[in-house]
Amino acid sequence: MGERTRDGILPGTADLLILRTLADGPAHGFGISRLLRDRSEGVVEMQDAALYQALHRLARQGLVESEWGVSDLGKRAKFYRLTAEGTRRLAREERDFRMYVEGVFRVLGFESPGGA
Amino acid sequence: MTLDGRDPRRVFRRDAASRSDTLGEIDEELRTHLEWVAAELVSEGWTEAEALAEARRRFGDLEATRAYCASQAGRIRRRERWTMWWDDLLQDLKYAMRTLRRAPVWSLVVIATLAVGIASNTIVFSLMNPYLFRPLPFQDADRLVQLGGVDPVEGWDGGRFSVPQIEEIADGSRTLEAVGGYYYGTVNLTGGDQAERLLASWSAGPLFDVLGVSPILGRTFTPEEARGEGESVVVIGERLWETRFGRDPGVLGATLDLDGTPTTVIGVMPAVFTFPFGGLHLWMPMPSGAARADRTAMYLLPVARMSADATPDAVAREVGELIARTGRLHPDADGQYDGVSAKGLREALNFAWDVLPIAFGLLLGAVVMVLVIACVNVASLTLARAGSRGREVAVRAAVGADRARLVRQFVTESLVLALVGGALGVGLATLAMRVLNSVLPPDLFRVGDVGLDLRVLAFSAVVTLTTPILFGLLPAWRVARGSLASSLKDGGRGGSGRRNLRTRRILVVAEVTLALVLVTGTGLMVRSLGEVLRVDLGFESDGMLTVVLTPPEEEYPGAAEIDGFWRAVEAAVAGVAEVDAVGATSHLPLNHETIPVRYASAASAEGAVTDWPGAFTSRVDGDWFDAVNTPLRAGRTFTPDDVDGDALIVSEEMARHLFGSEDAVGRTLLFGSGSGDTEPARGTIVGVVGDVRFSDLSGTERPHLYRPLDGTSVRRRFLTLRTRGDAADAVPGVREALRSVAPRVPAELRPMSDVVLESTLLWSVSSLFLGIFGVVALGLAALGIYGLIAYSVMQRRREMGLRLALGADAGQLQRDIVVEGLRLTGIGVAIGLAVSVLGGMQLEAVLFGVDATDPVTLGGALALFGMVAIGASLLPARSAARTDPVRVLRDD
Repeated sequence: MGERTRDGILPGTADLLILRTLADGPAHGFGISRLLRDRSEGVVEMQDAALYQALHRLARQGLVESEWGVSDLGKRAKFYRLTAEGTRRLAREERDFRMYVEGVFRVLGFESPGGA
Repeated sequence: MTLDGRDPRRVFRRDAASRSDTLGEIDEELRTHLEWVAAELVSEGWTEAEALAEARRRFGDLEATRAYCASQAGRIRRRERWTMWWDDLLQDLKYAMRTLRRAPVWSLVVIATLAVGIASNTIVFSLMNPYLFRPLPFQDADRLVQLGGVDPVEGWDGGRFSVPQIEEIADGSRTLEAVGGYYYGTVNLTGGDQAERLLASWSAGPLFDVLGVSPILGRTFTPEEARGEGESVVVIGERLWETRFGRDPGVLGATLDLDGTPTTVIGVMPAVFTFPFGGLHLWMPMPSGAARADRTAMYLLPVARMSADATPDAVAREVGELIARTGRLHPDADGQYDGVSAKGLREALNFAWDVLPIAFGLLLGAVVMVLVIACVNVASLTLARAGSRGREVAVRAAVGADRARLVRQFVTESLVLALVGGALGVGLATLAMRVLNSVLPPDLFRVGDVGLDLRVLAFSAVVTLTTPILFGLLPAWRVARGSLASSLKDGGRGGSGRRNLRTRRILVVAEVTLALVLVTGTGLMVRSLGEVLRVDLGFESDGMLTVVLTPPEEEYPGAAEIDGFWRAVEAAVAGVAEVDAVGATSHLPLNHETIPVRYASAASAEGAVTDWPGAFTSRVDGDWFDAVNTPLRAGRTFTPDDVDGDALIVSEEMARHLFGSEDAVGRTLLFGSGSGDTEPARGTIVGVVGDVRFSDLSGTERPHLYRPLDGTSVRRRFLTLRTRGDAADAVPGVREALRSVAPRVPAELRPMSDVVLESTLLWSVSSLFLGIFGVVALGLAALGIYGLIAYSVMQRRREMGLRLALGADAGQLQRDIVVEGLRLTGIGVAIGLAVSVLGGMQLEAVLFGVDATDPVTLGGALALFGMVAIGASLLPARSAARTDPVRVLRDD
């Protein structure tokens, strides 16, 4: 991969990654951070400050909404979940990102990322 | 994950979170995150203290994140507040519509009341605006005055001046900067397909400069033209430019044929320039000739621009002194005036200035009363609703409706009513104005058309619309004050209801009082109108057609031609099948033209002519009295051989005044002009005729002197035709006859009854307007009584049910309720009658044949209100008597 940002992710992909994570169900900030790390096997590591700023920005944009709940560990935490608008946005961003990455792959002569 | 439910208020109340709430939440969220990361680190072998520090380090810029999140949350909060506000509003509106639909009659009544209140005020103020308030279309109009000579005997102050006099005033006065003069009349405009008779004005001096106006096209008079020298020129009005020339700029230099004189158009004045009144579109310089140099040719009304520091009083004083000085040199001109008046142009140019303030005062009083009644009614209605909704409010408050929301809910309901009512009111006013503009006389001086006055509209809207909102707040306010439990207990029937009732009783009494004042005012006006219509005119106006003709000078220059013209016209008209008799006169009765004259018996005349008693005079031919049906009391009427200065006919009043019961016929009479400027003439009285109303219907009529119409001097004449049947039916035949003998002379045909009707205008218009407002007020008051009684009956349903259950007589119950309505009305009527009599005394000036204590009017009003009260309370009384006791008792 190319040069990674200070946050450990490609610029512009933070929102996509967060939305994708929330598509599997409501989660709090810490949960999202760990899911991202685990699923990417340590490749995608978003800085906490960036994660929370992104979450609040997404909330303001109406793509996610938050609610206080109790975590598995019995602690009060703020859970985020996708809104209908967020779900639509995710689908679009996924499509755009795939087209972009496929294009980049073809240029580089890599095999298609496929997989999905 | 479970709902935390920290804030139970949110079940009922969707609050936007506060700022400190969100900040706390952000901190908690970030803290929890850091704790979890630290816990993870501890499990990897870090010490607790180091773990927390490491977690913070890995987090990144904590403060910046905190600030960023807070700003995002703030934006969410603000947006939420807006959507919530909007949601609440929509919800309130929906709820309001539902509530109002549930009480459609109530809502419609409130809306109609609001509309009438707003419309009537806006109409009346907008009507007054062009006459009384709108700025005059002249530069610095408050510095303009019109001068008038004061008649030493009559005190009348509209005396005119001649050109030499005006020039001397302009030279000798220090309080005046510039003086011009004008007079007006009509000209025949020929040259098109048809001859037209148009109003025109002639001026001397720098009239346009005095007024400070400029044309929109071309120019006004040069100094030379203003002196009447050079070729004939005319400045025309924008309206005439539009109708006759289609706004063609080439109009300048065009020639109009005015009274046979080719006249060059040199300028166009804007439509707003209505001088000296609307409907006049031709301004010309007074032609040069003998009249310009003749000091006694006093035709002109002087208009002057005052110096910056002068007042009308100072002008009147100074010019008065000037005239008094020159009066010694010119007793036949300046000497006739005893002082000079200087009036502002608005007053001077408006012929109806003497009655206008009275008429508008009446109107104003009427609409203010209607507005107050409308407000009172809306207040009363809103209170009634509030009372009956006490329980609903209490229930909603108990299940958690926020008090502020409840208040908002009521305000929204009132606003819906207010807006619909207001819109309707504006619509009504606009409609009425369109009608008004088409019926208002154009020649009564006003500035511009009657138009919606926005300030007035705003004023009446604020007054009327505030009422429902204020009173709509009452129930919500009561809840906010916290009588919740008691409201729930007694189902909104309790103490507040009783307090409401007392307030409403006072309101209804006030309503009845005002309505009664309006109704008696209307009654007095209608009675005056009736008396005016019964006035003995001295002639028969029904079946009488009038025709006015002016044979133009170029075609009929001398006495012989004029005489020939009239002979031909009279013969042609007499041949029309519908015409029975034809008379001719120089002046028509009640046509706002009177020629004053002073008279004395030759046998007993003494003193100066100006000290002799005054009369009016006109010239008539021998058939005139027959045609108008004025009876001959003694002697004979004129024959064609009678010439002026020879034979005279006097009215009964004059004969009585001069000779008492003795015979007037055969005596010699002296008569001089009203101003006494010429030697008195003499003549022999050949006949005495019945008194005729010439000047107006309500005043004391002066005696009348008839002189023979001998064809030499009077160019313009009125023909009076006695018609078989309705005067209007004779119009086509007469027109045809006129066309055959004088196709190029414009003729004006009017049934005499129209002319008479004009003199009754003050009363008929006042009656009409007061009548409309009176009916509105009466209707509103009836609604007020009905609403109150119905409400009080509803409040006491339980009591009525019980009484009926215990065997009370239903008829007795009904009577009790009606008596309650009558008692309430009685108080209002008693106060109203007292106010009416006092107010009526202020009206004395316009009342005719009745006075403020007129028993017919007061008795009629009393009976009317009694009936209204009975009617308005009978309906609820009936329903009360039909109350089913079992159901009422079960309901609670």
